[in-house]
Amino acid sequence: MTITKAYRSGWKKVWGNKKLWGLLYLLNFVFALLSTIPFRGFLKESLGNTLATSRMLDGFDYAFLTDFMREYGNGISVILNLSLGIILLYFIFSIFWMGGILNILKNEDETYSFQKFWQGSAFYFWKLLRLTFYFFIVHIFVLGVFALIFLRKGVSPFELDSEIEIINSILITVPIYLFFATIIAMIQDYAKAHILHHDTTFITRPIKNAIQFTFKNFRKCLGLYLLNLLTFLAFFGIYWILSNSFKSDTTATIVLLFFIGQAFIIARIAIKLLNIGSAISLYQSKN
Amino acid sequence: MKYRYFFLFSTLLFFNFQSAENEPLSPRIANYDMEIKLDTEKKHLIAHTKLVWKNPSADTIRDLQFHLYYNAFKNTESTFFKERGMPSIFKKALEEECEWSWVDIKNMKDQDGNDLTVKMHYYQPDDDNTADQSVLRVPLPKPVMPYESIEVDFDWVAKIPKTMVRTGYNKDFYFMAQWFPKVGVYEPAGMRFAEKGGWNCHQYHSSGEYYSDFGNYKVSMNVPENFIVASSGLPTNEPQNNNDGTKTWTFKVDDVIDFAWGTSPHFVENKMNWKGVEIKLFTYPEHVHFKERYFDILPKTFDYFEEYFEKYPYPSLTIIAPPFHGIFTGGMEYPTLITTLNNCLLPSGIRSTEILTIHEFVHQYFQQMVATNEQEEAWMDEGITNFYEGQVMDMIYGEKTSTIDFMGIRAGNAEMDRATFHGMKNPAIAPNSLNSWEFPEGSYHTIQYSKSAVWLNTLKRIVGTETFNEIMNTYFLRWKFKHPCAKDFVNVVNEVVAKNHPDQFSEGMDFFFQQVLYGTEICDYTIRSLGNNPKSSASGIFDDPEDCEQSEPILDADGNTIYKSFVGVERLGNMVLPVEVLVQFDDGSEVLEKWDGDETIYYFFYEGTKQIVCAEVDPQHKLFLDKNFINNSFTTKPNPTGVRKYVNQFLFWMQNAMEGLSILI
Repeated sequence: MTITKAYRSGWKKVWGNKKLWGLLYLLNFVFALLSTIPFRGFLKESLGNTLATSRMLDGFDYAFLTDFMREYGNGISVILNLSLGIILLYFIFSIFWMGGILNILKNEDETYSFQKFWQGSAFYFWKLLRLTFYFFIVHIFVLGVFALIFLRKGVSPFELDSEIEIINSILITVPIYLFFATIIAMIQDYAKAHILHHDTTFITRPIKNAIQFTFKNFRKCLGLYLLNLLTFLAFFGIYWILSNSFKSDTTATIVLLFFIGQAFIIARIAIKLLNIGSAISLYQSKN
Repeated sequence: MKYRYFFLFSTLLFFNFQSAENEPLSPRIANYDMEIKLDTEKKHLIAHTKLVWKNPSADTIRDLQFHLYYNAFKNTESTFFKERGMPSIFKKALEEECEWSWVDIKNMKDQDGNDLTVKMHYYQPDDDNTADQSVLRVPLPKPVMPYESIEVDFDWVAKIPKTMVRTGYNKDFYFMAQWFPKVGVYEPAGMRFAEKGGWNCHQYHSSGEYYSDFGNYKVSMNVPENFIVASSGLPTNEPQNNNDGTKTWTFKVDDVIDFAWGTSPHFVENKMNWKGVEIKLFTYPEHVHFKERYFDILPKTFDYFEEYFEKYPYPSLTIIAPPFHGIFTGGMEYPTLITTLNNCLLPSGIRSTEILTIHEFVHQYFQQMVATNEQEEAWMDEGITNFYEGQVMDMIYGEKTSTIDFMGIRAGNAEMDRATFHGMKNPAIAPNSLNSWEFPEGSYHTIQYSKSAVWLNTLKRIVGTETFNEIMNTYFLRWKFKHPCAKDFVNVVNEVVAKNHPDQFSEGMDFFFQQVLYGTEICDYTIRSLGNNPKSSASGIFDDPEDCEQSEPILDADGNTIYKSFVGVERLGNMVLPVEVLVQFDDGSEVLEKWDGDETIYYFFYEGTKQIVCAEVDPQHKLFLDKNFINNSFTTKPNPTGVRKYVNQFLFWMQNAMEGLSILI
């Protein structure tokens, strides 16, 4: 299978599973609301009856923000802690849902069914949890190695001639790190595809298989990954242009910005499905 | 015809220079002639100094006192290190590489050949730390009679520290600041309200810089021939090649309180001229592209000070932008020489280069010319300088973007000072009036720099820009090339304010200074309550016990409800300042009330058919010291648009954060 075929297949899966797409967006929205609602209440309580709210419309205001964080920081930190908890909870649930996503995207002509989604979620949860944990450790390890490489010469003025050395170090280590991180992410994707097709007790085998698959089909895997990444960047670019093309200082423009933002989130979820769906298609074509 | 103009011009120029020669700008108390040899192998300065010191008083002076700044970095027992502790970044250089520094006076004689070294001893005027060697007392066999001079010759050697605080070397970059044995300031009775004359020569502390007398300097530096010297003043001639691998550079500057210089083989020199002032910028090759940023702001800053004070009086200004490995020497002010910092990692929207350059330049006026005592009253130079740094930055870049304007993040200079001050754990930790080394918990910098700038801004807004400018101009002209103290500044403020605002501030601004300068009060005013109650007739039982009167709304002639409205303004802080309150009504009319701000709560009452919709205390933010502007206003109806905007953004970023993390699955 060519990269473009896999990419097209991925889009076909996304398009054919709008209900899945919609469900994932809804879950994302509901989880985000869990901390947004208290945030709204807090803002209304602390600022609602002041002129500060209208001044906030002018955009970033350093004096306002520093006053706000200093005087109302305790309330904000409670909300931020709550948000962090919700993000972590969402992460755990996302591992759970990933099983359902895999189960639905298994075949190009497979369509969403509520039962199949939750069935897959329950079936693959523990394997995906372990897989996520292992890869999380690998990511941390690789990041640590690159941080050590970056810091090997230090950043102290007593050690370096000039900050140009730091810049050069960043210019060399960051792209190499990103390349390695991409490979790890690719392996993780194909390990998921392996889990989907081979009912193995241990996940070392899917990882080993995914490593072999990735390196055997390296150009295709990387090309597909970059194409998916490019798709994300294109959507982000569109969002960026649209959201910066007007000033959100009236209710109408705020509502417009809300819809633009939500469209971007929907696109983001679609690209997540595209990435998994296209990787599964590529994997299936080679096995 | 042309020759006649040329002759006239030349004559005028000649007399102009003559008058400049004949009329010194300053009293020229401490005058130095120094010959320095830089030993780049041992990192030593081998030097000879000839000091001519004039007794500025009617006192007979029996000793001299010298600052030996480099001895502050001699060991862990110095007052400097005892106060500061050992910064971890210097630990390796000091403890592992033994890069301690020192200064050693080898011999000292007066003009009669008397040996002054016999009785000289270290002296600790500020603490009981006998291990501190940063001040040297030299008893004189022959005292200096009133208004007479003494000439002192001495040889000395100094070990240059590895870039420490403000000075030192790293690799082949050298910056010599507070580097030579420098005589203290003899303050005659009456000066700075002193009751009797005496030396003011503090030890070198962890916080605080220097305080010196004016004088003329001629300094020759012998450095390796490939080194370029950047120095205070102007060169007297081309560098002389000594044919031994070294060159001698000689610089001269008059009417200054200090002298600093730097050298490196890598300096790139850039020049520009502003109305006859030679501006020289010395950078490292990797920082040459910063040149435009310096040369863009400097003429504007020179112009600003010419307009509000007077033209920069010296013929030169040297700027050294240290390399990354000399970073600890950056951001300092010396007469006609400043150090700044630039870093290729920082985007141009973060204006640290401009801020430092302007800040250190402002010090040419407020410390180098109005030579306040930085160790005792640091707010007088750092605070005023920080304030004017903000004024110039705001003028050039706009008051909301003068410090940061990068990727949608914007911050103004003055508002950053305010946020820094109020962001302290305890903004009431210390008043401005402490000695530099007495500030607890590292509060020196924020109180002396940020708080002072904030209350100067408040003063400006209270008395008005015109009066404030007159205050500062009067203060500068009256005290340039002298040593004023806080009381002198307050006296000028009181004089000008009482003259310009006899109705409002006839008794001056002492009430203000007692709180902001000598006190630690916090300013915070808020709208406590606001209401519109329909006016109604009384209800209850009055004359006839059988007649229970019901309350009824009172209407005007047109049948409109009459309201009794009120605004309650509360003083949450303990600082008392006069404040304005703007009250807006539903018919669009406004009333600006004035309140002395004294009571804890004060109410304004109104009666009529219109209702209050909004009230704001200090609507123009004249009280820039107010710690919370958000609580300054209250509206009867909430304005949800702003809240919606931030809720929308919060929701969006929350959704993105959740999706972002899920890429790890």
